[in-house]
Amino acid sequence: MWARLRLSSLFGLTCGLLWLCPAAGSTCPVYQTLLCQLKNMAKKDFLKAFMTDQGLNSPHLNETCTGSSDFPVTETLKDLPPVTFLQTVSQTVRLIEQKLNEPVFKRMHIYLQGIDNNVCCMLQALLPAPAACPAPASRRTLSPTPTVGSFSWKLERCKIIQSYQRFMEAVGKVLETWGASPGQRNRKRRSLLNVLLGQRRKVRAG
Amino acid sequence: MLALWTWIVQALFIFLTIDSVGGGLLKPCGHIIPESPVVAPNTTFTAICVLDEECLSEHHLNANQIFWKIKDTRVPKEQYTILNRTAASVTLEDVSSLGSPLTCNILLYGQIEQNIYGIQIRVGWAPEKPKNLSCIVNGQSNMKCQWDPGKETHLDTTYVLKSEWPTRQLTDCIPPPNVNNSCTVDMVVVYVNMDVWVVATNVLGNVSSDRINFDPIDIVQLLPPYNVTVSNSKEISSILKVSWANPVDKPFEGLKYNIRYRTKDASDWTLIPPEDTASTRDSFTVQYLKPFTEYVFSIRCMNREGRGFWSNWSAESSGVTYEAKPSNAPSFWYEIDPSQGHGYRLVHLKWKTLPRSEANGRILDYEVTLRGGKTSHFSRLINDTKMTLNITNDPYVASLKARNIVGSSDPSTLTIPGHDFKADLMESKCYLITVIPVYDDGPGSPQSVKAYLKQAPPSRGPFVRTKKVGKNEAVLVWEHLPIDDQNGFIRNYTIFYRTSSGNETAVHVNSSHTEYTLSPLTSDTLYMVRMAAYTDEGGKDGPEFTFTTPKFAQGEIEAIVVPVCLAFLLTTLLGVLLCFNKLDLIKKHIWPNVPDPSKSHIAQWSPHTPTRHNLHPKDQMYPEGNFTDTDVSVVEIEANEKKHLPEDLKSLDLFKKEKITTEGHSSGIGGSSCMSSSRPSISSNDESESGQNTSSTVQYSTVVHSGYRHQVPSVQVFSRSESTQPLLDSEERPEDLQIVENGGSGDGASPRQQYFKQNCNQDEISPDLPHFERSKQVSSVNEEDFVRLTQQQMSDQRSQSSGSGPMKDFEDISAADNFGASNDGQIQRFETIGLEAATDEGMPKSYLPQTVRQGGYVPQ
Repeated sequence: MWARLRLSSLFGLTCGLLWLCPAAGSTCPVYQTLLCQLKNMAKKDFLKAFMTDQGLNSPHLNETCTGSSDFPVTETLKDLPPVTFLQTVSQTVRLIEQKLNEPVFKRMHIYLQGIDNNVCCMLQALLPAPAACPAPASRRTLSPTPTVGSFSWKLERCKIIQSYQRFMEAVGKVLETWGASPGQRNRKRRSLLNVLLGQRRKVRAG
Repeated sequence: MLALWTWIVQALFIFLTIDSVGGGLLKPCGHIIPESPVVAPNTTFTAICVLDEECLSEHHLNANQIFWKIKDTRVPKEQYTILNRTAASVTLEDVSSLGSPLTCNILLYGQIEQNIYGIQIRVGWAPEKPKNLSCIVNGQSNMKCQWDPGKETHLDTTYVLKSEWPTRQLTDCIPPPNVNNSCTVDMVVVYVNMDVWVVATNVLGNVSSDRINFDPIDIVQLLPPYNVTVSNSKEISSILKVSWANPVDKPFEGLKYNIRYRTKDASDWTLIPPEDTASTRDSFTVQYLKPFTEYVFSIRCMNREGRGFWSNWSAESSGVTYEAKPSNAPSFWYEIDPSQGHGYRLVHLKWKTLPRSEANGRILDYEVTLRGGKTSHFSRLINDTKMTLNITNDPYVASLKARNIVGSSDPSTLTIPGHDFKADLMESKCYLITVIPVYDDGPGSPQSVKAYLKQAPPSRGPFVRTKKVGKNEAVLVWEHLPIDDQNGFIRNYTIFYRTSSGNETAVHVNSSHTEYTLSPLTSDTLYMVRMAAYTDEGGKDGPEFTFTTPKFAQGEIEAIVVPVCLAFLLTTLLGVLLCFNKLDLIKKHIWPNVPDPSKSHIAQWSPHTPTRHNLHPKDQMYPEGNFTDTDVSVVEIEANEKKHLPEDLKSLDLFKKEKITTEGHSSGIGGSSCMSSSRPSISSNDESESGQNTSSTVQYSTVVHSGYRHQVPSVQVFSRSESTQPLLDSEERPEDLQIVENGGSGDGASPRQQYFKQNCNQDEISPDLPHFERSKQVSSVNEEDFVRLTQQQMSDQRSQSSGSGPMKDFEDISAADNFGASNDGQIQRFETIGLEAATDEGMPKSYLPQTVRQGGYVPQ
């Protein structure tokens, strides 16, 4: 009995980790619906509300929030194969989840989980194999964060949200190039060889 | 009585004993299983009472002494079951009808009823499956779900709203206390499909509702727009601008609206066309409203794409359109009080206030203006609706304007007659008499009538003219007489018309008409028409008008001319076609082909007919004068022959003169050719004669080498063939030609013959080349004659069936003349070649260069 319980627990845990076994059999929407939903989700603006709530809503501070992004940009994303692209989106969203794992970002947090859910469903629509969704990223040890509510904390979070916005903007642009069905997706995507050649040219030019 | 007291004491003893043993005030001597039963109605319930061993031993009790009571009613022993020494059960049917409590009792000493234990039975229902689950997202993230929990369970029942995404379970939503039919989920995420269902649970079981799956964006109901304000425009009194604030908490940006409005006193709403409010905005200007009217507005909004639900209507907000100048003048009338003397009288002017719909604002005052009398102009502003004036007995004209903040209305005018007013009416003038009743509260509706003091005939008659004139009818039109010329009521019109020689005809027409059609009329006839108008007192003729009916009706001429023209054209066309079809016949009859004997010549036919003609030897036997274009070759004469052989030149000139005639017997033969010559040559066309390079043309030429109608040609005739094939060196070199053309050497004939053969039969180029070399060594004065003879023989072999007499003569001459036996071999060889060419129709044909002996024919 114990062994059976433990096996089932392990199975459930595995499924949970891989997000393969929805608890009550809820099914993913069709590809077209998912694509539309993801496009709309990419438009969601969290930065403005955060800036307003935190009293950062001034042009000067807006510029301060703008910094280099750690997340892939459009040029990088558009060259990725669809599955890789979606996996990248999932991993990035989860990374942002970790970075913004504070009560004040609860709404954004659950929104990111929603994005991740749709990305996972999209992967299942693209991949025949059940192991479509990427495994949750291991919890990174984040650098010590400033005191919640402090100005430095606000600026840091502001930068993260700004990066998120730019990333999702890039994601939205890529998704706009996807067709209405999986077979038509990403027509403008270049081949891997072209990507590599392009990068090489950039390196040389740089 | 003593015994009773004894029992009481014993019971008290037992009680105290139990209390002392248990350490409490009351210690039951047993218990009931189940402790807190929950029983569904109409079900069987069994309870077991278990006695403590301690009590059993101490008081000598056993299970047989147990009896059950519901409230105060003992349960019949038939429902008991003794399980063992310490336990007994009772089975109850439909406990819900019996009630609580259920007690386990024991009879001490056979007489004393002692309660051992008691339980409270709760009766209730298992939860029903929740139905009609529906959710709605309020604002951005709060989602309220409602359901029908079903009938009351009478038990503690919990309802939990569960939700999940395809990849994860979401937090349960638990309704607040005492709520079993709704729950609000915080922070729902739109654009993510989710499953939602309700689970109801109580002690009797649990049950789940059906799942519903949706994207929350599709069930969003925003809060209505707020801060709705209405403002008017001073410039435009028919508009109102509605402004509002959009709901902030919304999961999308694009909104569309419904804006409705009504006047304050109305109950029906007017909806702005939705297509005009289908985009996000925060104000809207409503047009075409009534001035100075209060309107009430209300707005609702929803997702621009139509997903979700309309919000509730916003709070109503009202506004008043700005004023406009009064749209109508007030009704106006007067009363005259003639009691005044000394040439004056009192006139009471009265008017009514304008209704709100005509006032278009708040009327500030009225402007009364009086003209006439001694004071030519009098104006006064007054707030009241009446005014009394002391005026002279002169006639006056009073006008009234209503004024508001924007402007004045149009004036309402009233004529006040003089005191001694007497109408100076004239005869034969039309008067409009209007009577206006005056009541206490204002004037009534006026009635008018036209009248003449005395009528007279019209001053003039109407001018009549034609509107349309046809072959048998004419449409006449006229205009009504001006009122000043009528002199009375026009009762009717009379139209008089006649021809120049006929009687006059009159037609009466109603006075309301202005058009009449005269019919029937005679075609191509001059008509004179005039018209008279009649009043009650007589009539007056108008001027006479003449018109002529046409000879033909419209389209009649066309109906005649068009078919005639078509017939003519058709006949012409048929004639032309006939001429084309019978052209040869006509040509033959008109221009018969008369040969010119002076230009007769002998034509020698090539032994090799072009393959594409597919001629049988018999076909090449041309009867005299029956050459066809395709069967005749072009004559070629070398250009440089003039220089070396004057005799030949002579014959050449003669030939050139005969060119036209020759064309009657020969022509270029089209089609591909393997032969070519880039040298200038003289042939049957001028281009060749002028030395033009004919390598681009393809011609096979054959000399017509017979006379016409048995006449002997007196000139040498040549044959040539042109093609685009490259020339051999031998042909390119003039010296070779000179050899040919020089009568002293017969070598020229043989190489050219070889050349033609080589070019005509490409496959035989190499084999023939030795023949070419070999033939150059042949030296014979009559070589070319020999060649010509050979050619002629080969040609004659094909044309033997023609049975030409002269040709036979030539053969005879040839047999007796120039050729020796030494040439037989060559003759034989050429014959072989010619026969091969003639019989092998698939092979390209060659034509031998042919010349004739100077000044005569070669006997063959």
